Amino acid sequence: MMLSEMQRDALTEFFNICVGRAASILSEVVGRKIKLSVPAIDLLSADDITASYFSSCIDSSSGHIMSSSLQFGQEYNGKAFLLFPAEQAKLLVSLCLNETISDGATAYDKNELLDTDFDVVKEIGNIILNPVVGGLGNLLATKLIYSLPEVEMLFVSADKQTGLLQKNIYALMLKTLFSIADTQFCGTILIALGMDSVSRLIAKIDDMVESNDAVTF
Amino acid sequence: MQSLFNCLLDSLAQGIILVEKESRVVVWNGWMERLTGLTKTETIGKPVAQVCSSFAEPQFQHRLTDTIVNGQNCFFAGILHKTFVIPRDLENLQEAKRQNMQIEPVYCQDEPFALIQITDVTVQHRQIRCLQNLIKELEINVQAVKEAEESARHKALHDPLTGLYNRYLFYDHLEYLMAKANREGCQLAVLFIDLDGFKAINDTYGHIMGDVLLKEFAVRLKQTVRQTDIVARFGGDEFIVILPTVCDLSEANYVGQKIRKAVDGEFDLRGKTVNITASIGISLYPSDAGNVEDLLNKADRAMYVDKKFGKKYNHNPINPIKE
Repeated sequence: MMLSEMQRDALTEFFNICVGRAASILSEVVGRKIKLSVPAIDLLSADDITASYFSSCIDSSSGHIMSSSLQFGQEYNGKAFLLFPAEQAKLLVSLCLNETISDGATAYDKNELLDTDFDVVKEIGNIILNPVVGGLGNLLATKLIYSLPEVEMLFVSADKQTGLLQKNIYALMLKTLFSIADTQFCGTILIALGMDSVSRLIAKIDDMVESNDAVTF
Repeated sequence: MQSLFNCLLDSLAQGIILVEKESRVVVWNGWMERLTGLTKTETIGKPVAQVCSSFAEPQFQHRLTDTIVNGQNCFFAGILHKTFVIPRDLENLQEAKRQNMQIEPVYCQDEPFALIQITDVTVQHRQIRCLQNLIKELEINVQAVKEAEESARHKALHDPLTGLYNRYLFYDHLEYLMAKANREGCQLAVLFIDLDGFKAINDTYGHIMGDVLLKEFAVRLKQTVRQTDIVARFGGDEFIVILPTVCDLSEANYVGQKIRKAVDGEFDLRGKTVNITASIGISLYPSDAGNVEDLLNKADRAMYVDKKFGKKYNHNPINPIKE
């Protein structure tokens, strides 16, 4: 299922507002300015998300990906993921905690994630995903029930599918760049939706584009 | 049944606050009472921001509203926020208490509530800090052991006075380079170098000055040859240079002359100037000898010939006399 240019533009505008809200909450929580770039939107089927696509998208050299995810449901359901390269996780956490990793830091300090670091990633995922999923619910005028966020480390090997998505599932990919104190992180928000949910979202976007509504999200 | 339920709620090892849509407290469990010193009577029915000051902050207020109005689940990490519920005993706060907080929606007959759960993670934090420190200490120890091993290895294989390779490392390299020359069908040269009149300098100026001379001699020697050439102190005032690949004797001779030019002459021994010369003997592998021992013997003999007669031959380093 391909997005037309109009549909892509409408979704970009919509999700940019959600991501902007997320950036503002995150900045408030960590006490420093955090910018999230305008997301690049793509709609892909589970078959399109090959390991190589995934690796290039997340930009993880080691194949390890940090995932913070939450499920949402009731009449409109799916699962949203915030994904970023695992090798950047420690740096992201340190910047959020206003800690610095010195050049002389041991390998342990630079790479190893502690339980408390996972908690920070969990909260970051929660802050970013809630406005995005909440925005989706508002757009479709439906009440969503959210699960608590979960954090896990995924490994994507070159010869395997990602295992994130089941067959007949579509993924709305929102690729964005976080900027914190001159450091950029490549993050991707993946919203996994069933065929019905995708069709409903596209129909809503088409309605808005056709009626040329002044879109208020 | 209700009293059993209340009893369970009060026995939980975490804080439970239930807030209704107007942000007033509906449930305040025993853990909260014990921590804050505020009883159920003092809190139930009151705005949550009044009894738990964190919720007076906009960021928590907004997230509480998001939960009640939009049904969102929120998680707050103790490492980012430290404490959400301030203990009654403020001294406890000095201990850097850490709490995780979770807010989730609960519905009762379509009426939305926000369930706030607070978990004390101070002990986990402390354990993690201890673990971090332990791992850091171990890493430092491992580094120290590695450095000590490296230093011991260096000491075992290098001459302590000049820092050049010692005999053991020299033999290792010579054997390896001979095998390599054999495989690649090329020649290598060994230059045996001995200082002339070193004993007299030692006797005249003392051993400390002798050591100064040897150190300076080693520096000049090292500076004269290529980085790929091997320079070793064989013992006393004897040095050896291996040239891993040479075309012929004249190339080895050329290097020998360069060495002679660099080392023959004045040496400043802490204000005292001495003049020395060196005798050099050359042997080639495989043309002069087929094994380490013979190769060194021939270079050594050539050096003695140079010491005895070489000065007559314009100081050209000497190749062993063919037998």
